[in-house]
Amino acid sequence: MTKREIVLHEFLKDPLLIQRGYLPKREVIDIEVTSPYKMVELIKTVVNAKDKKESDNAVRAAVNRFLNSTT
Amino acid sequence: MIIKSIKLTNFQCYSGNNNYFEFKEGLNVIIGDNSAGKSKLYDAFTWALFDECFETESSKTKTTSVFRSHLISDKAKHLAAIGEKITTEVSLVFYRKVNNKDEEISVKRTYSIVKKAAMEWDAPHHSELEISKKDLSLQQVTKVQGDPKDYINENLLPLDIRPYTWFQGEQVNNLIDFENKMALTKAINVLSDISEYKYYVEFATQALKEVQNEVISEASRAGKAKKALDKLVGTRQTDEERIERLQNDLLEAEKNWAYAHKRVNELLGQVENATKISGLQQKLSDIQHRVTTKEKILDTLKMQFHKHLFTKYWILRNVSSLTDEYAQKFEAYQQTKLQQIADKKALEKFTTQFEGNITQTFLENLIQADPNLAYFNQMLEQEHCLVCDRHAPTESEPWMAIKKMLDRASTKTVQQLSQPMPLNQDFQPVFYQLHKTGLRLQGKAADIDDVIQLELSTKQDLIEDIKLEKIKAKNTSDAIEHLVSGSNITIENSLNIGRDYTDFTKKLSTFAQIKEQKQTELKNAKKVLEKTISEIADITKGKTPLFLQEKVKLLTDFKDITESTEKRVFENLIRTLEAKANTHFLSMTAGNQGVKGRIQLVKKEGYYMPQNVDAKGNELANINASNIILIKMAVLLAIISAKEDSNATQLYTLITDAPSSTFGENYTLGFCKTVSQVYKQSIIMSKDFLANKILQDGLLNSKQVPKLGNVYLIQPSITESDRSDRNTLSTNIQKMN
Repeated sequence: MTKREIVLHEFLKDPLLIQRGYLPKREVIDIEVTSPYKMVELIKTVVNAKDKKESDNAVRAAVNRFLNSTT
Repeated sequence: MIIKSIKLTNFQCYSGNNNYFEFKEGLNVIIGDNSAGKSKLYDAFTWALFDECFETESSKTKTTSVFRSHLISDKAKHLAAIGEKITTEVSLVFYRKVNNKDEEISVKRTYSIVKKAAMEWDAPHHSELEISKKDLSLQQVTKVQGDPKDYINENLLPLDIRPYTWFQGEQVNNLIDFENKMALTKAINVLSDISEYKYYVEFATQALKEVQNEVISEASRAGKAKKALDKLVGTRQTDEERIERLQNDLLEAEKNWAYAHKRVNELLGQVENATKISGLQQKLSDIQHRVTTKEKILDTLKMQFHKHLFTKYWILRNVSSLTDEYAQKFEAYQQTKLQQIADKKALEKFTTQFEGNITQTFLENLIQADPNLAYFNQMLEQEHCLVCDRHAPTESEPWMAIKKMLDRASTKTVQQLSQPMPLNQDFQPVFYQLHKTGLRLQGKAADIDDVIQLELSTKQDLIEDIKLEKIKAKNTSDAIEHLVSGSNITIENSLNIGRDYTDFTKKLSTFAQIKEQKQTELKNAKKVLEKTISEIADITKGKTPLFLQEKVKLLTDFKDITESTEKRVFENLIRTLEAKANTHFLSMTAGNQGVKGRIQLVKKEGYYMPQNVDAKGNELANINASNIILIKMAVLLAIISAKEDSNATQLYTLITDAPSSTFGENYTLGFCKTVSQVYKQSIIMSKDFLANKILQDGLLNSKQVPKLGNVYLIQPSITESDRSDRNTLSTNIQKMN
């Protein structure tokens, strides 16, 4: 597993995702495929941008783009 | 990556250019006694890569600019001619496989001086470093461009990993410092990916803040409670700044407290011995003072005794014999005088008696003349007195009178009788007085031996006393020496330790109060900030567009998820670490009954610290120093090995000098076994295998160490005890397997 995959899996294992209604119970997420879950996609956006060694500003811009497109 | 070899030329005790060590994967061991060159070999590694050597006096690493000519072998310097250039060089060769290509990286550090006079050098402040790469398939060598420090940090050994992979035995204690709650966290941060998660927490916090600001701007733009919002935003800014300041203050207070706590605990271990040493030192000083005083008294006593001998005792002793002699003579004088008086009386009587028959003149003539005694004998024999010409029959009165005169004349001459001692001046009362005084002095003179004896015995007692004091001083001094050698406390700093202990105990209490105060202030400041944020939220609630509200909600939850994930990952890492640490701990201590319990990483005030606990998880009290070091060493190995995908144990070689110096040779083989399992390559310098043949056999022959690389024995050409100087010192290197 790459560092990106490890980090993504760790985030997606967090119980708060289910507790706060971002994920239904027992949903298996394929991190390589776009999911319908906003929080999952937000996490993926941040982790992927960071993995590409983008600057903090670039990561922020990616998040803003994602948020503006989904909210 | 592994280290293939190291070559030392004229580096410290490694004189000449024939000092070469080759290393393999697995455990490589350099065996050598104290002062054989183990630490200098360790220095060669750190000097080559980081331009640092260990300075014993300060217990710190120093650069070339400090050591200068001392870096170079004394033998090489001694043999060099005036004006000759002498160079030391350490070459390290690393091997690695990059993209299926075999590659060697050579690191070569050199330093040269010029001999100006016998002990004078032209020694620059800096050394030269050269790094080159060699493609082994093409046999092509290229010099590495750019800053060599950066290259080393990025490719050979990162600076933050270095303390955990290259260390001396005595440094282990500080690497995982039980008193510094940040130590384990810091090590975990360095050697794991946990910092990655911290990045997401910080990112999420910042993103949330930005969107909150967006909400405020939106609300302000809409003119909704603009003044109140502006004021609250200002308050929030102030609150945040205050929190940041308090966090820094708290961090500072915690650091101070941790340092004071560490010092108190360090000093606590020393204070008992230091108190004993300073107590003994005081005792020694008192004894020495007493000895000095008593020696002065003894000197005075000796001088007094000699003076008394001359002025009193010898005189009195002489007086004793003089008075005896005088008494005899005075007695004789008295006798003579009495005799004279008696004789005078007898003569007067005799004169009176013979006055009728013999004229006074005749008598005087008779007496004054030197009478011939033969006449008296003749008179007695003839029974006839020639003086009065009368018959004097034997035993008759005239015959007896003649006989008496003959007897008297036989003892004293008539002349003597008729000429008494001149007694014109009567010295008798003076002589008598002298006699009396002599008698009195004689009384004293009779005691003089006792007086001398008493004085001599006082002197002897004092000498014995001084002897005893000196024995006490010697015993005290030995006791101090014993304590000093066993505790690493010098006599000079024994007093400081007691003082420092008191100071740091006070500081500890002060810092604890400051820490508590800052914690409370921080807690309150956070509450104030929460209130401000809540007030901002109240004002903006329902007055901001939905998309913004949704953004805030999403980012708030994102922040919570990043925090929760970071915490979970960290705690999982801690549990993995704990399991690994226990595996290493068991492996290192296998077969040793002295080691108890297991390691538990316990959370204290938000930080994790290793603890030695029993099966029920209760902390074990009074664990010995070896146990503590082994726990630290196990945790250290666990930190490096726990995160297997980080490849730290594969990428970097463990190099350690005298690792067992702090935990003892009972665990040396266990440590070697564990290290050889954890690290792809390790290089260990140790003296334990030298004298202990069981250990040596365990290392070389019994295959107890799974991956054994090369084993070398290093020996100095002259043992330390035989070194009057180091001008001929070199190091013999012998491969043992």
